[in-house]
Amino acid sequence: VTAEPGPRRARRALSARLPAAVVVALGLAVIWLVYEGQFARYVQTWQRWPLVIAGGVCVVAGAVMLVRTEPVTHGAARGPAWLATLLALPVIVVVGLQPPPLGAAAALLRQASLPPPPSDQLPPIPAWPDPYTLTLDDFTERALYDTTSTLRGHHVRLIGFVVRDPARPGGVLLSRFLIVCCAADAELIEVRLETPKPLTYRPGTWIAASGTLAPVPAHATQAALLVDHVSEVPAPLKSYES
Amino acid sequence: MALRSDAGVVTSRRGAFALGAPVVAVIVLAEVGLALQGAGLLDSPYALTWEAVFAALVVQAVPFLMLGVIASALLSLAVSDRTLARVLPSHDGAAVVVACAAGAALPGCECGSVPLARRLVDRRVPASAALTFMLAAPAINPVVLVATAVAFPGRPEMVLARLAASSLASIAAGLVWLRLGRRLSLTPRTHAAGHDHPGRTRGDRFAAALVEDLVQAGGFLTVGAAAAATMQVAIPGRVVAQGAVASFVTMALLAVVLSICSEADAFVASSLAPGRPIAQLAFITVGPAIDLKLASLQAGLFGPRFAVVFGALALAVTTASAALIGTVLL
Repeated sequence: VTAEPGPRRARRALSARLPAAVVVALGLAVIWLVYEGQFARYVQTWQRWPLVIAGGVCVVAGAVMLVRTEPVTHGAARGPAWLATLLALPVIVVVGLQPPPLGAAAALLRQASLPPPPSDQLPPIPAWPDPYTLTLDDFTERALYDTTSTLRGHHVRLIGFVVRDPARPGGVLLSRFLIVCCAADAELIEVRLETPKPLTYRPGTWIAASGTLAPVPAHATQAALLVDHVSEVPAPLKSYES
Repeated sequence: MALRSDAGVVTSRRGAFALGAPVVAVIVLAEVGLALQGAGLLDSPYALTWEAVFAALVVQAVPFLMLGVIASALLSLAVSDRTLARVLPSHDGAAVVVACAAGAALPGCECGSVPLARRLVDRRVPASAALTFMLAAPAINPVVLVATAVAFPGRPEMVLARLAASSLASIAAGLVWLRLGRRLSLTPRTHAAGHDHPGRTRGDRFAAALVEDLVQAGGFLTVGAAAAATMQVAIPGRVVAQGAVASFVTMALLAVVLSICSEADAFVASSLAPGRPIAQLAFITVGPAIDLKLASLQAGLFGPRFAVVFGALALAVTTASAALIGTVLL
């Protein structure tokens, strides 16, 4: 190794450092995502600390490799240089393009899913605060499967974004994605809003609608809310139900 | 030593390309991305959804991949080759069964179990046992079984069927590999964390191994995530065909292309094919064994040729096992 000419050795040292540099960039990008709160666009919020720790390890391990004068060149033949290039792609996407969380645009590409019927008795809805805020998932589950009508007589509030209802001209669906692990397993939940006057919010606007459960026909696959009050709200940091 | 210095010369001749091309590629990618965004081409629903799903798959994988890489590095430090050999039965078939049980007991997931299995092969654990572990760990660990019970309320037979189908498939794959593996042998890597480079500190070797594993697994994972995101955008309603056979086949194929984590797949399965329990079983049995994301991770850590052969094997044993167990139990 010592017999190698200087420039050649330097070049080899640099090419071996590219993977380390990309790993540092990936670690910084992950930490930045958590710091900015943007990680909630992609994964469940409980993954905050695992992400910070993993990002930190990336930064430290990559930095150690960068400062060594004689980097380990193992596996160079298997092409970590171009693999490192590929690993830069997600960094470019999350830092450069910053895609918004799945919302009205993605809802156009999906069909709404139905929650599975619950096996246990659903707990009653608290009387206070009034209106009580339910998730769209909880509301749909209670509306479609609840034999003891825990929703009857309750004034509830639902929060979601607006999607045009393909089944009713001028009609609006209140929508939200539900994730278990990450946005790749997202499922769309939609509740029909029934209002005396058509709502004029643009698709994608976040609104809070309060009201009562609309009568559910037999074999319904969608719940509906008889809206008595609706207002625009800021998009929540945690945009997915979980 | 002679071999190593030869390799050094070859690498250095290609040095300029190896350094220049990736740097140029990163800059071009970034420029093209920003130009497309500037032209408004990345604002279509398809592009936005693709970006979010792609980013989600990679971001989600980072901590779990890291966990697998660190766990395998700790395994190297803490457990000696002799201890490892003592724990595993010397009979290869028995080792496969023990590996399946170990996979069921340890809460792992797909992204973490691939680097762990790779390290087991490096430690000269028989490849058949390591691969059985790789299939079993994400599919039937306690966390996944609880998630399955929650996703299928009032249907505990789904949990039992999942446990049975994935165990059967993992063991079958291991036993097949005992024969197949002779033709496609997996050789232990001489790892940066290994015994060479005596002048380095333990921390240096750890960092080197970590960066190498992360780049190899992560680089390929990017390809798998891009493919999976493309399929998620291309298959709009996630429509599942009707009919017993057609729904089974579509659900098995959807599991491969959607690349959903094993902790979440039962929830998706339950809403995808209501009233088709055998098709749902196919989805949750095939997905943790083989999907686009996993195949890309395996291509990174075991080589592309292995990924193709093993992917086909995993698909065959999991569909057969899901069909069999589903018919018997559901």
